[in-house]
Amino acid sequence: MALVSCVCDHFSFVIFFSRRNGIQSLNVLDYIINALTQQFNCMVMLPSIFLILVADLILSDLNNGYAGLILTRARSRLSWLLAKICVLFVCAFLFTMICTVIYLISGLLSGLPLDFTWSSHSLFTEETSPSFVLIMIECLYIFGLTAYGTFLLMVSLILRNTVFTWGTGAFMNILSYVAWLKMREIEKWFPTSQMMFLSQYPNKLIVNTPGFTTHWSLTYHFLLFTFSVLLGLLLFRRINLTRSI
Amino acid sequence: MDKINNLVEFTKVSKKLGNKQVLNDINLTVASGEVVGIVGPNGCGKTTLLRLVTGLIYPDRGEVRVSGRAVRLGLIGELPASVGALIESPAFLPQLSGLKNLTILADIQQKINEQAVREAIKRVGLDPDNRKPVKSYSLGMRQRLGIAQAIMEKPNILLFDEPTNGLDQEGKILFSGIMKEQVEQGAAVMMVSHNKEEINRYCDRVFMIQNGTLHPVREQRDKSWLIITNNLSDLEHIYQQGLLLQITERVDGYPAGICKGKWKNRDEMMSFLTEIGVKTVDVREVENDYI
Repeated sequence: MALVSCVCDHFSFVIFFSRRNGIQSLNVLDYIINALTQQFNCMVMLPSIFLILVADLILSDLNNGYAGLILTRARSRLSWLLAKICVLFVCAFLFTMICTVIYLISGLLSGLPLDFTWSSHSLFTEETSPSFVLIMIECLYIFGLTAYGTFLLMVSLILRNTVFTWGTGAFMNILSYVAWLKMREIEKWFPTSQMMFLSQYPNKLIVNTPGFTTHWSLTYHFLLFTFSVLLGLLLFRRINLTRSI
Repeated sequence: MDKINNLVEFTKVSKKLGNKQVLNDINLTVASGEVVGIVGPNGCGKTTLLRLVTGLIYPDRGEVRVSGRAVRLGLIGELPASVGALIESPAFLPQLSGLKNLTILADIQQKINEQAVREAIKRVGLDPDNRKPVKSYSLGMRQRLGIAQAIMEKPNILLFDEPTNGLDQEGKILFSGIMKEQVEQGAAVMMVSHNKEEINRYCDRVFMIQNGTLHPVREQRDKSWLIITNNLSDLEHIYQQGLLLQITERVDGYPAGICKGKWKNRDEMMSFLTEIGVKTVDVREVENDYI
């Protein structure tokens, strides 16, 4: 379902997203960067789709009894939890890569040339290597989705319901977007805003929020991740691992 | 290392789930080579008892010891080792084959190789080379695969929750054989079921859970003995002692009968027969469902 949503998102919205505010992509690289920094796509759509993939990462095992088969063989609950977080990281990595590949394909299908140089119409004002910009965006996505996903996994342990967990995530995504639209000064405190590279790097579209830098985002991700793992350990250590609460 | 006789020990264990006091002051031990059965209606706490042994839940009060070590939260939520469990209906990865599923599980501990997994699958009467996904398995096949995953790593403690659910007659006989093997190898087995007949058949000691407390139903298992004598009058003499005896077909031309009782072993049985003046050709312990 997540994959279908992902493909639908890309093919139905990407062209619209990537031609915002008069900025038009001249090559595939521009197109990918445009799509991955489009505010609604970045803060609401992609994180929400990712959450469909991972919201039940722990709960499905608990609810269908598979956790019992694993845990009778595991040394500790912590090892299982850490294994799940590793899976989450792999999911975040694959999700980001798949998104990029889908954008690449849809860019090519739109007739854009497969050129990896900076176009003169690019979003960013500073002369930086385009590959570096793309890598930074990808890193923000991978670390952001991992940290945010870990946090929501722990929320799922409290709520014990996949739909409510996803709903919580979607609500936070929308809050991030609203903050970006209406309260730019507090934007840097919201989890999915951290993936919004455009807010952190000098560009032609928007004025950067003071103090909101890529370094800030990476620190934010690290702290959110550490907090989530510690919270998860505290919860998971003593929780009843049964189907019902 | 000292040999631990009681592999599972519950000492004054209480557990509350939600608002319900499921278990209250439970004391129970399961020794190596022993099969203990718990009966009771649905929702009485039978499965909770098994989960306490696996560490999936921890007791609110009291202590559960598994292989001599207390099941405690610890710093990282420690889990007891060498436990094989089939709790509720077995859940496998539906898109993978039975062999692949069990190989993935075996990789966690890396105690056994693929050959051992294959043997466990064969032991429960399934074909390890069957490449069909588990989602196409019948309920009985899944149950057999569940039994295979529980026994494949030769654990010291086996926990079975309604193990014969969905098994046909052949499957039940197979399970009976597996249980016997495991007990002979020294495993401690805990089995829970709402089916008293099933529990009586397999278990040495039987308890019932009522209102969260354990009540002994049977403290010792009756064993069945095939007694082969020179003449029928010896068998009649056993019957006259007030024992439960059923005459069977002759064995190698000698009269024979099955007698049920609490004799622990063949020596005890033989000394009883000598005491009452019965001369035997042979005495053998047989399965309870031999008749």
